[in-house]
Parts: sequence; structure tokens; C-alpha cells
Amino acid sequence: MRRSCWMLMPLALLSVAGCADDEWVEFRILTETPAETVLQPDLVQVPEGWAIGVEAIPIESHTRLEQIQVLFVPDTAGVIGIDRGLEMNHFVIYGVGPGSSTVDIYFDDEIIGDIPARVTARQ
Amino acid sequence: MRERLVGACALVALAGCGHDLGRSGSLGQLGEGYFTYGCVDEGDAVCNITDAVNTAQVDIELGLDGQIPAAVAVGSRFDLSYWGDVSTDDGELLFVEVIPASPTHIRQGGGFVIDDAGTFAFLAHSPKGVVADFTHVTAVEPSRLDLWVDEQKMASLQMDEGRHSHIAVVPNDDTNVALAGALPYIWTSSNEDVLRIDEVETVGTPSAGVEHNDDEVRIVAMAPGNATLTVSAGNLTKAIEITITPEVSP
Repeated sequence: MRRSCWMLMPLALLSVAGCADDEWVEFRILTETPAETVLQPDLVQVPEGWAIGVEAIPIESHTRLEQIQVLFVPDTAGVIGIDRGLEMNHFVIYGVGPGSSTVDIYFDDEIIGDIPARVTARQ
Repeated sequence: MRERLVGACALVALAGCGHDLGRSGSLGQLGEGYFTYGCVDEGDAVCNITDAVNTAQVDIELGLDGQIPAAVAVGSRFDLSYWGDVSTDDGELLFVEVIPASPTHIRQGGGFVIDDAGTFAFLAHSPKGVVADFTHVTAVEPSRLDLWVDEQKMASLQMDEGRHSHIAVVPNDDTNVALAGALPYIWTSSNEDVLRIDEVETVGTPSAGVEHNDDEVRIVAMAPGNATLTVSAGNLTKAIEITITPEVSP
């Protein structure tokens, strides 16, 4: 568990939920994106066959977290791919096949929530 | 500032990747390395060996120096390799291979074949789940075949008896853009007594009138008369009339 949550732990178990609710990821887009792309904290949507480079920015209480390693794990194979790039918190998001999925988000190996993900069919 | 093993290379070691020609290629979308387009077999206009096609006219579309072409023909075969950075932030050196992001529409094995029109990402991908870089390739349905001789598009051709010529086919889309990728061409002559077809690098009298797969062939004027030269790929066909005139004695 991350340090910020440990500091709150004596207060109540609620603090754990509070950490999770107050943590999210924002995306900085690094490459060209087609029109139907959505990269928001509450939805990731990319077209089938396309790849997009992003930097994932871990946020807690509206503050950017430094030195936190973000990890994404899609819960469904064959819909969306989110692979690490060469630099810390850089990722390549790509549409494998049309459909919907959920992507679990980890901060330093601790799950902090998930994002709905959608891959749109080719036009 | 992280340190990298810049210049380390990774490539797709796909059997049949014949001609990347040491070209530099196109910078990946992340700027970490270069993707080099390569021809898998003889039927790709990108890797022509004769001067039948006016390369100044079509090279921008087909791709110079291993660059990703404007588009490949749907159903054609081509190859991609990656040269560039393959080390992560923590110094781990990766083995990287180029794979399609959406394998449903793309066949692999001896290169790649895109089976549907559209734009598709190709990833310089490590089995450890790291993408070093990526590029996109657009596939377009070819709508026409053009035949080239002596850097000119030809609708008909006249040859002297006993002479030979190199002729090449280039697929185009409906906006007249030349398409890369090897298609399974079939060349035929309607009259093998008048016109015969052979592999492009041969000399002498050809024995057969049919040539497969190559986008370039050598045609030989055997005797005076007329013959139709036909090249087809899938449901596309191009035919030109060739007239052989008698050899004039000095």
C-alpha cells in the first residue's frame, strides 16, 4: 500500500476507499489520434487497428504524483491493448478488436480503480 | 535523464524478407526508432529491378529508402522491420518484433498481408509487454493495373521481331495512387508463336508463355503478328495489344 494511504490508515478503514476514490489517471497524448479517440480519466476509446502513444499521469487529490509507476491491465483479451513504452508511465494504447472492456489501474502495484474501455469498429 | 542504448537494433527476423536494401525507413510515431518497409517477393513494385517504371513518378507513393509507402494493396504481401531504441528506462534490453496491433485483419508468415482496407498499427513489441515504437500502414483496394515500358504507361506496344522488352505492372487505387505490396500476378500471352513471356533476368529464347508472381517480366517478340499480353491479380486484369513487326534486313 502506498505511503499516503498508510498515513491515513489510523483514521478509519474509510481512508482506503478515500484514497482509491481520489486517485485517477490523466492522459497526455503523444501521437496522432483519429477523431473517434477518447482518452479521459473515465473512458478510453480507440478505433480498431489504431495505436496511440500516451503518457499516463497519476493524480491524487488533484495533485500529480511523482515517481509512481502506473500499470494498466485490461480484463478482457482481444479488445484493447495497453502496453508499456520505453519511458516511465509512457504507454501505447491500441485497438485489437471491436468491443468493450475494463482496464484495471495500478499505482505501484496497488490497484486504485478501473476505466471502461471501448474499441470502435473500423469505418 | 535516462540513459539508453540508442542505436541498438531490433528487427523482425522473418524468413523471406528479401530486400530491405539497407534503407533507413520511416521514423516511428514515438520517435524511438525507424520502421523499414521491405519486399517479401518479386511481385512488389517497390523493389523493381528494371527501369520499366518511371520511379520519379511513383517512388513518393511507393516509398523511398524503405519508408512506409502511402498505401499497400489489400491482399498484397510486404514486410516491416524495426531499427531503434530497445532499452527501457531501467536499462533492460528488449528483444523486439514487429506485430500487428489488430491481428484479425492481418495475416502473418513470410511478411504481412492486410486483408481489409483501412489503417492498421504495427508495433515494435517485446514479449514482455513493452512497445518500443509503432507505425501505421494504410491498405487500399487496388482498382486498376497499369503497365509500364521504358518509363511510360502503355495501352499498346509495337516491337520489332527478335527484340525483347521489360514490362512492369503497378497497382493503383481509384485516385491513381500507386500501391506497394506484392500481389500474385499471372502473365499470359494470347499467342506464344508471336509473343513469349519470361522471367525478367533471363536472356535468350523463352520456352514458356506464362509467368507467375513477378510484377516485372521480359517479353520477347518471336515472330511478326499480334498478341495480347494479359496480367491479372485477383479480379483485376490488364491487357494490351502488342504488334510485332518484321525484322528489317540492313
